[in-house]
Parts: sequence; C-alpha cells; structure tokens
Amino acid sequence: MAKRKKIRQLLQSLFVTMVLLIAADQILGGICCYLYRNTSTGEIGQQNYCITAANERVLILGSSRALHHYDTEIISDSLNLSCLNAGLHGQCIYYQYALLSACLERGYKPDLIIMDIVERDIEISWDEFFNLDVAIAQLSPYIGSYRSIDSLLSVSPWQKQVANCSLLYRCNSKIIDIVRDQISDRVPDNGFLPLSGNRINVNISERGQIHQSFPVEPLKSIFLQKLITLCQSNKISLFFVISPSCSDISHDGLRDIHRIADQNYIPFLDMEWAFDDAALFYDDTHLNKEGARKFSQMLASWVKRYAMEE
Amino acid sequence: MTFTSIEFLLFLLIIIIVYYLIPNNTWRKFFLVVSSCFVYGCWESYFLLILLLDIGVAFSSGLLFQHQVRRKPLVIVSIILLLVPLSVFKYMTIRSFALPLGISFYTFICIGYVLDVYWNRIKVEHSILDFSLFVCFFPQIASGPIARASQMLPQLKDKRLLSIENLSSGMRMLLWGFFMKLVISNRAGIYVDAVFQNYELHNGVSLLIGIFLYSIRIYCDFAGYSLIALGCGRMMGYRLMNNFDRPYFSPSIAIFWRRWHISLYSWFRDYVYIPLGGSHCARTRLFFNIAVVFILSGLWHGVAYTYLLWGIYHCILSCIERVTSSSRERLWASFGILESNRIRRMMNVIVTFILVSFGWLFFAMPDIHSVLGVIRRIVIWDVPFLPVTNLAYFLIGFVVLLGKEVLEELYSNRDDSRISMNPYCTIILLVVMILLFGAMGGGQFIYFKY
Repeated sequence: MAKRKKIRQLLQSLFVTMVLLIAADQILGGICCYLYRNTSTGEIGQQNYCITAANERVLILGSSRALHHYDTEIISDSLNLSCLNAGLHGQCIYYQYALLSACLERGYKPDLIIMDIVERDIEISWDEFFNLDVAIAQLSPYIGSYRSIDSLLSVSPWQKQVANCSLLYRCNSKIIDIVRDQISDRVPDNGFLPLSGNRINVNISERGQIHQSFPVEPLKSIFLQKLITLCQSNKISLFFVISPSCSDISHDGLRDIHRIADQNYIPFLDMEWAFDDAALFYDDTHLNKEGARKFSQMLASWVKRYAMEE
Repeated sequence: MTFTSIEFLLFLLIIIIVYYLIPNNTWRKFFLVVSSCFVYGCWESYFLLILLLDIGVAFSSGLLFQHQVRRKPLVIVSIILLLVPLSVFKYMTIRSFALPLGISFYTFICIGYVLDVYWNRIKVEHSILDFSLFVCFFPQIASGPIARASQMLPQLKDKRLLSIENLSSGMRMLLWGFFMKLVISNRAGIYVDAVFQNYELHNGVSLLIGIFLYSIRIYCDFAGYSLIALGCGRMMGYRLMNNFDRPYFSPSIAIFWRRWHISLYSWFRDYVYIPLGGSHCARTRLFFNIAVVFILSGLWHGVAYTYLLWGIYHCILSCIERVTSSSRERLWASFGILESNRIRRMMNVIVTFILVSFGWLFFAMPDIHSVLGVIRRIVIWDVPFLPVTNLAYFLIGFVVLLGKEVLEELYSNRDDSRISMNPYCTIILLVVMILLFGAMGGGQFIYFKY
C-alpha cells in the first residue's frame, strides 16, 4: 500500500515537473520568438524586413562580405532598380537558400539576385560559422511559419530537430540581441552596412601564396543547386560574384562553384584581385566604405553591360 | 557521446527507467555494468579491453591477498601491472592510438582498492559484478570522481529504492552541472580561446580577463562534469564522492587543495602523503612529502612539462604558506585582527584565488614560452577585447552561480531551509537559463583528456 502511494506521488511529481517545463517553454519561449519575429529595428529588424516586407527588385545575398561590399544606393541608381542587401555575417548557402525561399513563399519575387560567393559556400566550415547549424539558429524563431525554413531543419541531424521542438531553444543566445535591437534606432533600410577605416594587417602584394582548402560539403553543393533551380523556375536572373579580397580565397572550393555556375549558365564575375590598393580595405577580407563604393560601381556597370548584351 | 548531448540524456532516461523496472539487484548491477561498458566502448572499442584488463588485475589481486603469505611483492606487481597501460598510453604516446578515456581515473580507483585491501582497510570484494560496477560505473568513468571502495562497494550490496528525493536532488545536480558547463564554462571558453590562442595580439587587460575567465572555466567545466556524474548516480540511488566544495572560497592554498578535485587529492593524501609520513615529521621531510604529492599530481595530468611546472608551482606555494604561517599570524595579531575577522578572511580568499588563477596559466598555455609571453604582455594596458554579447551571457550565469555559492558558503553550517529553494522552481529556472543562455556547441569537458 505504502509502495503504491510512493509510486503515485512520484508519478505526480514527474507529471507536474513535465507540465511546468512545457508551460515555461511554450510561454517564455513563445514570448521570445514573438519578440524576435516582431523586432523592427537593428540587425534582426533588417532580417525580418527582408522575410516579411521586402519588395525590392534587386536582392543581394551573401555573408558579411555581401553586407559590407554592395552599396545598394549605387547599384540602385545605376540599374534604376530598387535594391536590398540581405547579407549576414557568418552565413552561407543554407541561410541564403532559406531566406530566398521564404521570400518566394510570401509572394515576393525579385527580378535579379546578386550572390556574393565565398569558398565556404561549398567547402566544409572549419569554425562555428558558415554551416547549417548557424543558419538554423538564425532562422529558428521562424520555424513553423515558413515551409522553406522548416525544410532546412529537416536536413539537419535528429538531435537538432529534437532540440528545436523547444521554443526556448529556438531563442538560444538571442535574448541580448533582441533587447539590443528593440532599443536600436537603426530602422530597416536598403541593408548596406559600410565599414569605416583601415585595420588591414596583411601585405597585399603577398596575395596568391597561401591556399588552404577544405573538402567540399556535399549538402552545400545540393543547396547551391537548389538555389539555382529556385531562381530558374521563378525566372529570377542570378549572378554569382566574388568581391575583392585582400587575403586568399581557396580556389579549390571556388572551382566547384564555377563548375556548377557553368553547368547552369549562371554569369560569374570574379573580382577577387580587382583591387591592389590596401587603402580600399577595412581588414583582410572586407572592403571599407570607399572600397565598397568603387566595387559597387564596377559591379553595376558589369551587370548593366551583361544585361544589354543578353 | 558528450555528457551534455541529447543522446546522453536519452540514454540516461532509458537506463534509469530500465534500472528501476528490474526487480532483482544482481540483474540491475549486471545491466549497469553492460550499459557502462557500452558507453565506454562507444568511444573506442580497444578502450574497453584496457578497462577490463585493469578490473581483472585489481579484482584478482584482491582475491590473491587472502591466500598469499608474501603480500608485499604481490601488491608491487599488481600496482605495476595497473600502471603499465597508463604509462604506455599516457606517457609513451603510441602513434595511431588515442589515450583511453578516463584511464587516469580508473587506474587510480583500482590502485586505491588494491592498497586498501593490502592495508586491511577494507574486506576483499568477492563479487566480480560489484567490483566491475565500482570501477566502470558510467557516470564516473570518463572524469571521476575517483571512487573509494569503502564508500562505493557497500552501496552496491543493497537494492536501491526508487525515491522522489533521490530523483529530485539527482536531477537538480544534473541541471546545475549542465548550467555550469553550458552557460558558464563554454561562454568563458569562447573568450579564453580567442585571447590565449592569439595572446601576442592582446593587451594586459584582455589577458587578465582571460586568466580570470580560465579559472572560472576550468572550475565550472570540471565541477559541472562532477555534478552531472553525482546527479546520474543519485538518480539511481548511489551517492558518489563529492569532488568540489566551493574551492575558490578557500582562504589558503592548503584549504584550496582540500576543496578542489577532492577525490584525487584525498587519494594522494591517503595513498601517498600519509604513507610517506604526512605532516607529522621533520620540516625537510614534510617539504619532500609535499613535493612528491604535487609533482605526482602534475604528472597525473599529463606528460607535458607545463603540468610538472604547475605541480612545482603549487608545491612552492604550499611550502611558503607553511613556512610563513606563524609570521603571518603575528603580523595579523599586531593589527589586532583575529582569524575569524571577515575582512581578513576575504583578503585571504582573494589572494588565494589570484595565486591559483595564475597557476592555471600552466594549464591553459601549451608551453613555457607562451606562459612567459602572457606574463610579459600583462603590463601592457589598453582598452580590452570585449565581445559584449558573449560576456553578458557569461555574466548572467556567473552571477547566478556566485550567488548560490556565496549563500552556501555563508549558511553551510546553519539552517539549510534558509537558502533552499522549491525544487520545481530550481528545475524550471535552470532549464530556462540553460536553453536561453547556454553555448551549446562548446565541445567536450576539459578533464576528458586526462
């Protein structure tokens, strides 16, 4: 009798614990996800704008190099088309595919996509950036709202899928960003974020000597192809661009991207070594404001010329 | 399988459910031994062979002690046999063979048992099942605590009953362990790695912050693991040895070593220091005994000479502390400040923390050149490297842990109900904080490599 009572008490305690945990997860996690999705300022606000409200005709996709290199005003003026820069630090093909799919799912279809390419769009990432995890983490508060973002989760390991059942987990490491962006005065604009100054610490004349390659990540190739197919099926013009760099980009990875681009007739502009002037760079891999201005002018005229030739 | 992964949590859940569903204690222990071997074998199958070899040597040595008249040669042979795999894998570094996980820990468990039986401190264990579980119990196999036969083996004799208290306190220990590892240690690790891996590029303020964070990191990493192990054990009704007792609140180096990695340093105390004569001997002999313990302790961590230097550093600190104890006491007395004075105690705690933290440099850096490089750059003061978001998450976790430990330190000898919190609240708060603030991809525990 006493044993049965003990077991009943135990089951009750476990049940109460589970209910409280689920309630805390759904309520607190739900609030956090809601705040994330409804942040209208700062970096999160910029991403939210792109997913939920953007209607620009030119869309720039890429990592921080896209964010800091593509001066949307110049591109917009030159092409006479509205332009949005959706580049985001540390993101690669997974994020870009999910972002574009979410936009298309909403009904927003850009006319032209310029995708800034880095070797890590196809090679295995050697750090915590440029991988599937970081793309899912960035978009996880949107899980359940967009099929395309859910599909990104479906290719991740089962542990990730289980963890993302928790709404709190979806907001992991985001609370401070949410608070910061809620009080930020940066309203969503054309997305371009110029870098000022010069912190370069490599000798630009020594470029081309160091090549460190990593193996190709098969899933990245698949997503690159999926993004191309998505653009082709929606009749969106897609351009691949390698923007100027001061340090070396692995050419093994880029060869594969070149091959995929050639197979799919995607115009490819390689401007990796277009600039020899170190004063145009902010650091090893990013242009500063002046560099971005020059690069954007060159890019816009190339796109224009290409479009005219076509 | 990392101990903070979803796989481990699911594995643990299944183990606990099946464990309590088995009515017979022998079958329960058999199930735990098989599960522990499975966990251990998951890392590398040859690890399991070495573990089984050590279990076999220690167990048969115990049995032989009953019949053997010449016990001394037998104990020497047994210890040598137990030390062979450790020496071969750890100190000779066989190419293409990884260091078996936890080998330093279970080798010491086995040696401790053999010596306990040799000195007639405990009775010989006749059940191979109980002995195997005592050595390979999965929560403690990778990084301890280093179990003692006198404490663990009697617990294995009786069937453990399912109780709310054990499950609740075990779960809270487990969650505190996760919290310390994921929220504090991993967050601190991001800063520490960024600064120490490129120390030439950082100024003194960043390096000092790095040293402070490394101290917190190594504590939260190791104590976090120990709490996870204790929590797993407690949920199955077993009480494993407590490994940490708020060591950074120690007012002296000697007390620090009574509160840090307790299972290892009490092992050294019982099996090395006291047999050598302990502290009841001439001063030079005492210093020799201290030196032996700390040098062995340094070598236990690895073959790198930085560990040896770390051991020597603590040996020097301990000796200086002993030599100067009476003069320091006189100095305090001349100001009319007694030992019970709170300010004096706080100052001692701070000085001890600084000295210990400085010693961790030998752990954090790969060679003496880097240690000296960091020390040289400490004098260069400038605006520090401050990744605000990561440090803010770290600070949230650190403040919560500090608050808990301060309360425990202040009220540890008083009425516990003053500081105890509703178990439901504790569990929910910890889960919420882990999920919101934890750095989930922080990798394996630091002490898994020892």
